[in-house]
Amino acid sequence: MATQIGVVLPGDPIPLDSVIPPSTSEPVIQLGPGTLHIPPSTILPVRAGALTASTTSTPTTSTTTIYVDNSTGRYTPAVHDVVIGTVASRFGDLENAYYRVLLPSSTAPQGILAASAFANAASRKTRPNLLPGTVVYARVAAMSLALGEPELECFDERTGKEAGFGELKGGMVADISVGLARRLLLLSSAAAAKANSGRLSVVDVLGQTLAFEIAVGRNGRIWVNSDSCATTVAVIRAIQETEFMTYHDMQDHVAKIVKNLQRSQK
Amino acid sequence: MSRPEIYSPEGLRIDGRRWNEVRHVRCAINTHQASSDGSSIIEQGNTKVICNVVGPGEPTGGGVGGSGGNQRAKDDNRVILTVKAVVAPFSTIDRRKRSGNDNRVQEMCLTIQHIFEEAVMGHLQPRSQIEISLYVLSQDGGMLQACINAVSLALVDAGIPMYDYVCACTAGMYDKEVLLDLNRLEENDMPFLTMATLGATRKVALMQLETRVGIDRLEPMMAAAMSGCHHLRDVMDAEVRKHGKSRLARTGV
Amino acid sequence: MAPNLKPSALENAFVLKALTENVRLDNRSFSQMRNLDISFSSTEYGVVDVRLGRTRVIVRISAEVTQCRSDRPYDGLFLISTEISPMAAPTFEAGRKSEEELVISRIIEKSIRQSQALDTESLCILAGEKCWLVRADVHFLDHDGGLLDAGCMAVSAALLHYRRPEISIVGTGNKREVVVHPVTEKVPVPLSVLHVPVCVTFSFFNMKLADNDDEEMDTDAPDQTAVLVDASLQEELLRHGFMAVTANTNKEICQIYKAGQLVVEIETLLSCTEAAVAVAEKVTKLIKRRLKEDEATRNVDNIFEEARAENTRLVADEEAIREMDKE
Repeated sequence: MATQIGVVLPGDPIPLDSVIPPSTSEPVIQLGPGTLHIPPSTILPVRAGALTASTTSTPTTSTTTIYVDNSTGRYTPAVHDVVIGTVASRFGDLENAYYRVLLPSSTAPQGILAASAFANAASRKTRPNLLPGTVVYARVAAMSLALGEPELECFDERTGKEAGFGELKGGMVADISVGLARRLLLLSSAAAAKANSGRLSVVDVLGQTLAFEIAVGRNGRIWVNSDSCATTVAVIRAIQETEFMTYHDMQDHVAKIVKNLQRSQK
Repeated sequence: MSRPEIYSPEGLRIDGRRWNEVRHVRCAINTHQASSDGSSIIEQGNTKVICNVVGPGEPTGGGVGGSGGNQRAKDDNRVILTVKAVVAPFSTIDRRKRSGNDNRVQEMCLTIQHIFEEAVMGHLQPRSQIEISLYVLSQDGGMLQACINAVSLALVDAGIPMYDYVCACTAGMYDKEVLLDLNRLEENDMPFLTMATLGATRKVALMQLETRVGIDRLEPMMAAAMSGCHHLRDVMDAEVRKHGKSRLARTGV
Repeated sequence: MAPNLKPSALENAFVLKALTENVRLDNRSFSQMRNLDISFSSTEYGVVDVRLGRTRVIVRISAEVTQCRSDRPYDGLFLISTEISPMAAPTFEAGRKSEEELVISRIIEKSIRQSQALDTESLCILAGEKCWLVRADVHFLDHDGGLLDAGCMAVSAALLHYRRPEISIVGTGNKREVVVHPVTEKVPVPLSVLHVPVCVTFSFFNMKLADNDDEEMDTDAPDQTAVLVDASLQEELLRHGFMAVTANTNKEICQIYKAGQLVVEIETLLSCTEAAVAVAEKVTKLIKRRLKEDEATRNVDNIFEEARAENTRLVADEEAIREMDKE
């Protein structure tokens, strides 16, 4: 379970004692993003943000991951992340076609998506033909900072099924902060909500009264679709506007937006 | 010397026109066969403009403020228009060397580009470019309108598919009288607007007003300018038809 | 913030579809402006900060005494510089004039300078010799659409707020000299602003392009154009055409700029100009209100009235009379 220890600034001491469960004999510490190990035993944060620790433990051993949680302006692609991008162009020949996919607010401005990297891409006929301007939901399959361009795939890596990846049809995309995108993805499961002392994410709160589809890209983009444009706009606005609200303010704000929406639709 | 009367009580203007009369228009197309794919010359009163059109052809970039590159990035599936205008130093009474970076001229080029991007069926020629060059030989008011009309004619001559002619005309307001198609003296003396319509419709491609005017004066000016546009369309259309007939007569088929 | 990219096909389709349902992305009505806030610098005259939604513009007015232009001996000089730096948005390059910048600078120039909002004749000090050079530097700090509208409002407001230093002319004949009194010495004087131009941009969307799967629409049917006031950046990137109208509270139109792009019915354009006058009235009211509030914070204990030039002269005269009496 992840616990936030407090705000740290670069160079602050990290209170390791409070992080490691005292009962274990051989504690293991894993360093996540935003931390630096200076041998032999100094650990310093290198970013400003909330120091977060998550521990998995057995009776004798425990592994604690510590990282600094903060919101960056840009998204740095990493393998397994889900992203929302826009197809810019197509290149390669018929057999080996590739798409250049623009990833807004990412440190790598564009990714490569092979036409064969779709769920039903076994034969050329079943491969999708994406036009420039199409929005796709994809997963970062490979990434090397040296090469720069992340490689994208549009299928679930475990099952090989489509699993919601691929072209996003209808609806609307909107920008949110990279930090909010990460939090939304973290809180999207019921288990995560339970871990968060029963608090639901703004998406779940909206979902209690409105019917809509949503896809969250780790690169700070969301895609929302619903029956009416007004609902879609309301959902996007609710997500964007409640980022820095307390849990109760967020609930009130969502209720207000939903009420306005229902009034306008009557 | 007393100042000439802009609009006499008898209803005559400086050059003897009535309020609703446009200046004499002379126009011709296919005037520069060797240098361009389409060309035209238009004289509206003493304002004289030559237009050359090259294309559609391979894009080379360039255009207003080097915008060719941006334009291409913006939309790949439409034709790129570039407009360059040269205002001759001898075009006005006091000889003046104008630099190519003159904001006014650049703005005019951009305006013309935006007008014809909509009037030309650009989706029929993706990834190609049409270069429009304008030469203003003589200015006596209504430079913008003459340029727009000249481009219309030259594009027709170049055989580029368009929805309709774009025709432009000015109208001014002297006291409470609307005057159509102003010359330079009149332009300096009263608020006026330039309007361009798509053919003989009520659809407006361009409307520019650069002088302060009461809002109640606007509607009569707009109505007059529009009727002027429609008249100019007829004049231009007659010239193109005349040219077409003579060409057809010479093919001998 | 994400760099401005070409909007995707999906965004394009959605915005048009939403407009057919009378929905804008930020839930405004078509004719509603974003939140407008105008504030003045508390230390300097002629520095104004205008925020229109997330768009932010700062204008600074400055003045200096300079040589008159030989061809206009009775006029002062008024310059507006509108350079858009990459600070507004990463798409703007420093030092290179983009199309957008050209259009914005020309329209602001026409709206304010060419419409004689500032009485340049009042800036003349000695005909043919000395005059004021008033300069308005427009800084675009953040770009979320409507740079033009915000910029124009800011220049208008700043001109109203600015106070130039008091001057006096010493000597006679060819030896006349202009003495500029620092603000600390004499109460500075406002500029002679004849009217307050407010620019309003109308964005046009061709609704025929919405809902492609619908059966053939009647092409001659009028009113196929959605008209939006004060478009956001996203709407600006997607719109099919625009018209900028500058109006003032005297029910005058100072400038109209509708250059190409989507062709629009003449009736629609005419109704836009009327709407512009209404917006101008609202904005001018706000500017005036803010000016009054600003004046109130400066005029503590009615110091302006006390420090008027007439008062000092009275005192000086009395002293002169007393001295004469002694003699």
